[in-house]
Amino acid sequence: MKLKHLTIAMAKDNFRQFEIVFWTIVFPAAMFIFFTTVFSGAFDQETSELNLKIGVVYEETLTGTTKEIFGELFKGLEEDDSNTFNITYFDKSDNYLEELRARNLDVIIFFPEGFNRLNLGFILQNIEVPDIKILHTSRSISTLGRDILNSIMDEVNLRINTFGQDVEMNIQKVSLSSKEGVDFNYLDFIFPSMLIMAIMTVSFFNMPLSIVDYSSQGISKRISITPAKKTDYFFAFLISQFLVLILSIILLYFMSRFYNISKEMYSIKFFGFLLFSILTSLSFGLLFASFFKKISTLSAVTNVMYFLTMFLSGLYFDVSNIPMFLRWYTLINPMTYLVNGMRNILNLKSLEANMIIIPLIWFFVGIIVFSYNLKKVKE
Amino acid sequence: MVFCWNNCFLLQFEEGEGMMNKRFLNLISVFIKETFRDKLDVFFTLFFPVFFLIIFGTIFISPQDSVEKERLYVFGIYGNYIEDVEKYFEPHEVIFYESLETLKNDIESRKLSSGIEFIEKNDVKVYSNESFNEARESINVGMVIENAVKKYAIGAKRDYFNVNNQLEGLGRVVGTDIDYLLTGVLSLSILSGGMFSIIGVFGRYKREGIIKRFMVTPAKPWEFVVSSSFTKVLLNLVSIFIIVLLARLFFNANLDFNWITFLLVCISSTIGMMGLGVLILIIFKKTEASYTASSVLYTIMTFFSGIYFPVQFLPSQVRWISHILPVTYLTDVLRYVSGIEDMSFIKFITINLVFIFAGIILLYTASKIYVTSEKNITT
Repeated sequence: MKLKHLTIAMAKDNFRQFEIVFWTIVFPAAMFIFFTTVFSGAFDQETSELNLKIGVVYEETLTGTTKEIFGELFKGLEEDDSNTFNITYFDKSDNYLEELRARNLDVIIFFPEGFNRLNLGFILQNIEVPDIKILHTSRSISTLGRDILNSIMDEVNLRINTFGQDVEMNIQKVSLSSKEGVDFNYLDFIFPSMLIMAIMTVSFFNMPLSIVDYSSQGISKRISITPAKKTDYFFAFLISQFLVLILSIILLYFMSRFYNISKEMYSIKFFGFLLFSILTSLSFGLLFASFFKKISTLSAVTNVMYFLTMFLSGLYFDVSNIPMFLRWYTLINPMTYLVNGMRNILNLKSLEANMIIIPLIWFFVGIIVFSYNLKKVKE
Repeated sequence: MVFCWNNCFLLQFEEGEGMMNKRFLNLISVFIKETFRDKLDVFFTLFFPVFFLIIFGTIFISPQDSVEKERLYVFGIYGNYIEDVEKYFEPHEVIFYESLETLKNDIESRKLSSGIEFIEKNDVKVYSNESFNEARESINVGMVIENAVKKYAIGAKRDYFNVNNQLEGLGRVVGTDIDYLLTGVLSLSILSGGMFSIIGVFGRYKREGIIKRFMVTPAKPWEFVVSSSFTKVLLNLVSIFIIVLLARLFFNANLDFNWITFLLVCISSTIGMMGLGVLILIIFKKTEASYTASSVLYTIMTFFSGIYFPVQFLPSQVRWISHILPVTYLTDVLRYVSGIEDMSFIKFITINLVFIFAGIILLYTASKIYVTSEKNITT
């Protein structure tokens, strides 16, 4: 009974604090929507709305077959439904370079004088055709445009070889980041990240800061003189933290219904691993609370650790090949293994031993250190 | 927070203009000491931007990348192929494999951009390890491979024309990826240093009664505002110079700063961002809510201002957001003063004047609202 009352009181205290509700429940859901909206189409050439602004400059008007080839090419790019290319045509007298510098164009393809010799080049071998120039700047969108245009011109060369016919090829794409036969799905990559982010918010901030705050305000001491047992207090505290986290997870699951995420997220295996992740992370919170008495110091440390962990766990991008002076943290940090474990389950791959062993080691370290310093929590 | 109360006692006994200057210098000294005692503030102003620079610089930028040439890839080849297959992949590097497992391992460890298994001349499997880091690039890699294997399949004899990439400089120096990243990191550093710090000055100080105590001293409200703001500007400048120094040492940043205009931009933009912090505080009233709103705004600006990836990668419906964010314009002026891009002098002056005047007006407003002994102002 006392456990129930304590739990309700602590849970109400949590939900009264706007910051806890916002950062634990609302923010991960908002970030999930943001990441999926912005980046889920990144791998799909056909859904890409790049809107690359290409300038086409003819130093002399093209004629014959050359005109037909490139005219059809640019017409096809312009009429592309995915809105990838936006083409503007210039004469040699126009100020196309100014347009490039003013960012009205991302890249320019320049057909020099004498390029019409290509018409002869189709028939005769040793005809010298001036090079097409691709003018670009050092901006990343411009260098991307340059690389795309290089690939397109390469394909034009190929089509000239085949007299315009497509080559019949069977090209099977295999993604090594998921089980063979399963295509890479960015949503399966980011969903575990958002779950871990919500879990980290509780374990790095809510939990240790609450423990130290209750201790410094004398709340723990006041509770200890009530009939409530110390174990009731401890479990009430844990359950109240857990409740906030569960709400966050429920919201993320609800949001995920609007996206095409692997159905494995409803499997017992995934839920089991999720629970394992929560317990491991919460032990982290106990670890932080064990070492720091002052809220200001704890707040600084947990902020540093939170951002380090968030960016060096592979939550948002792959960190497997970063330099060693940073990678050591990736290797010892349990969140790396927890998020990869969830991804493996979603991608129908098996769990690796280190995805369980290393987080388990941290779980026991957290519990043991906390138990050893239990006096700080029981005061 | 323990304020330097001793110095405030000294303020009571100082009168006259000469004494006013000494009082002002004392105030600055007090705020400097107080600033560096706030570990969280120091972390977020000094180390957080450095952390971002190191993380994003090591993960997303390869020192081998050159903006001048087409991006070159390394492909692994295995299977049933003829001897001169590598010529169809030129200028990209090709490595031949005896074992498919070794090929897959090297793709997963990122030694290879992609791997191709030739089953028959017209039947290939393409292995890749898709990750968010190379999302857009994977599309280009796919196009390069498709062209190469098709040319191999038909035994394409030659290219009928060549392509020449030409880099057009935008400023005094050619900016590399790290230079663009660095200017973005500097923008965010100025944003966080200005915006968060001023919420602390007016919000936290007001709540903790520091301002009320100041009001009983001879110190004028403008002295309080100017000295506290000056300290934050100074801290921000220190942070900026640390970032620039580290970028030059570890990433060979190529920036060619005009130091006078750079200093002007740092000061004007810090004042402008302080004004933004004041605006948030006026809208949200409570300090904690203001910190939360600022954090959300900071996150939005990180993703929508084109700092870490081009705005064109965002869905077309939300790209307009980048045009209303102050960080977008701040990044533009920083790229101008660092020599990697050009800008009209009028635009440069206009942006700086907007920052300065908006910042000063809002700081003056804040002094009227918050540096007062009125009891009905709640934070």
